[in-house]
Amino acid sequence: MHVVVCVKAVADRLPDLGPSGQEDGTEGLHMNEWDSVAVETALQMRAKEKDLRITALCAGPPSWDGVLRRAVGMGVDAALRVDYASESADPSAGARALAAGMAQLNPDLILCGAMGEDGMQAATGPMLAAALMLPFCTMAMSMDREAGGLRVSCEDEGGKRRIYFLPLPCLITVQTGIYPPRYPRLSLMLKADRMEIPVLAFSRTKALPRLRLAYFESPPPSRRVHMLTGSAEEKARELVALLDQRGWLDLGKLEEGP
Amino acid sequence: MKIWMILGSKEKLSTGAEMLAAARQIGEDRSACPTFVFPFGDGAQQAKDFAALGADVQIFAPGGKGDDLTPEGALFCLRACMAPGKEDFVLMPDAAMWRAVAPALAFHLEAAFAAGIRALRWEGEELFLGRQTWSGRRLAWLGLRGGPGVFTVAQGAFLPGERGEKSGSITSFAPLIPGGESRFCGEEPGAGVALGLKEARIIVAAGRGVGGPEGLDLLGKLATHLPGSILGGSRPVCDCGWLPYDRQIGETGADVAPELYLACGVSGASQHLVGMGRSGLVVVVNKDPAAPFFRHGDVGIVEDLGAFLPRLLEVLAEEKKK
Repeated sequence: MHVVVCVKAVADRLPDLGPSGQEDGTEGLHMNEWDSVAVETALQMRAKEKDLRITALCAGPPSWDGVLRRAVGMGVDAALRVDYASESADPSAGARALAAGMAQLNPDLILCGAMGEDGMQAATGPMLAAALMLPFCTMAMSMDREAGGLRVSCEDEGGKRRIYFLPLPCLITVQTGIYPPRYPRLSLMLKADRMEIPVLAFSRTKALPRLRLAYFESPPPSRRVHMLTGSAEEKARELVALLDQRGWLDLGKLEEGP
Repeated sequence: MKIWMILGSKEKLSTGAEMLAAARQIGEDRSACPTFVFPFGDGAQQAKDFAALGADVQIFAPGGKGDDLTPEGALFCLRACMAPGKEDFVLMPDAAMWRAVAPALAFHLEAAFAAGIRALRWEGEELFLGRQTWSGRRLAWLGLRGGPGVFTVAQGAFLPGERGEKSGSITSFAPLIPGGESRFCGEEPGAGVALGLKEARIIVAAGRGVGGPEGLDLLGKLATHLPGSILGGSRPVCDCGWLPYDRQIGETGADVAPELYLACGVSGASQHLVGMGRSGLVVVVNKDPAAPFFRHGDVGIVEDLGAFLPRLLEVLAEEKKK
């Protein structure tokens, strides 16, 4: 069984307010939190299933090799980068590049993080499934191997779960909480640092939607906050006074025993 | 210009009214005709109410249930009932299964996609879409020239407008038969919501900033001073196992509205805020003065909880002795 995990890099720093600028490629990057959970999920599957191998795939510029190395450090068997520079704000662009990588890797199961920490659209997984015409489900909170496929419990509104059976090959996006992601191991990181990451050239054939990221704003506040000032003790006293004033505090009943 | 507003069988009328408000903003001065579509499920009963909002309604499979859909099956149905042209848009609620289906549909239609849109405006021929990114720390504005577009609409973001002067028409179509190989196997209640969380007068909410189980113990002590209070938390706190999932507040947890919401070390991610926005007084304690929660609180305290909570408990102990 071949599991491919899609990973992406996210900037360490929030984007500046105002017109969206091109990243200069020198800023710090880290593996998208949800994707590290997807890597962990694959590793947990491998611990239970013989002959399961895991490839980490990303579609990005050379600076994204770092997140592939981290995935190797966590324990995946191989890595591949589709050489791709974002050219549209539409998530289908990246999904098409990932699909090109999948054509090389021929996976039985694709795991993706449920969403990116940056855009939070939760679009790449479903779009990649659409590109490859695969059965899919999103926001998995648990999954179990069954004959011919997987039984997956997916998060629904208000904490409810919907259970699906998906035959292989299929695509599943995972929600945080399915497994806590492990830290990379030093010995594996040393190996990862030395390894050459294969790169797949990609050229777009489809016209992309004419969607651009125009600018960033601070979201409008929903309340007007009154900030308490002074020392920690002064703030604590002011808060206690406020709670007392509103009748929320029960100072009389405080019997903590002898 | 056509605008399809896709709804499920259990959708609230208010969701439809908000979507219609968004659709009218997209269609402004562009002779749009927004239409509610119930592609599966028991739309027949709701059709009249939605038509009364002033938009046409198309229902498929009247009387059907639609509870056992998979994302793949839902996608199959939607592809069968829509063929948007260059000027057209498809809207869905930013909720549940739509989040899975909408991007896949956009891909098949070669349409632009944006999730959870909260604001809209035209500038000439460019449609600007505002949406939350970076856990609510940034509102991103996207510019789109030419459709088609598929968008999910954030709940509560668009104010329902006045009802149309006359009801829309209702048209029924033959049921759509979902295809695909995946199978629905049932529902689970999940963690549910802890007893008393929704009814609590006071919620002491823990975020990642409490640092660990020790920090939670301190919050538990604080809660003993606040009668009628209960501990809740953000998703990361439950993911870490510091609190059970039935204490989670937010989009994938409980929706609460206590008199006092005391947020300790919660950054204020948009997914958390949707679960507590109706609270009375909101007090926010966080060491990061840039935490988004300060923009959504009434009283703000910039302090490290590790130092602040013991101090607060001391002050409470002193007050008790008085």
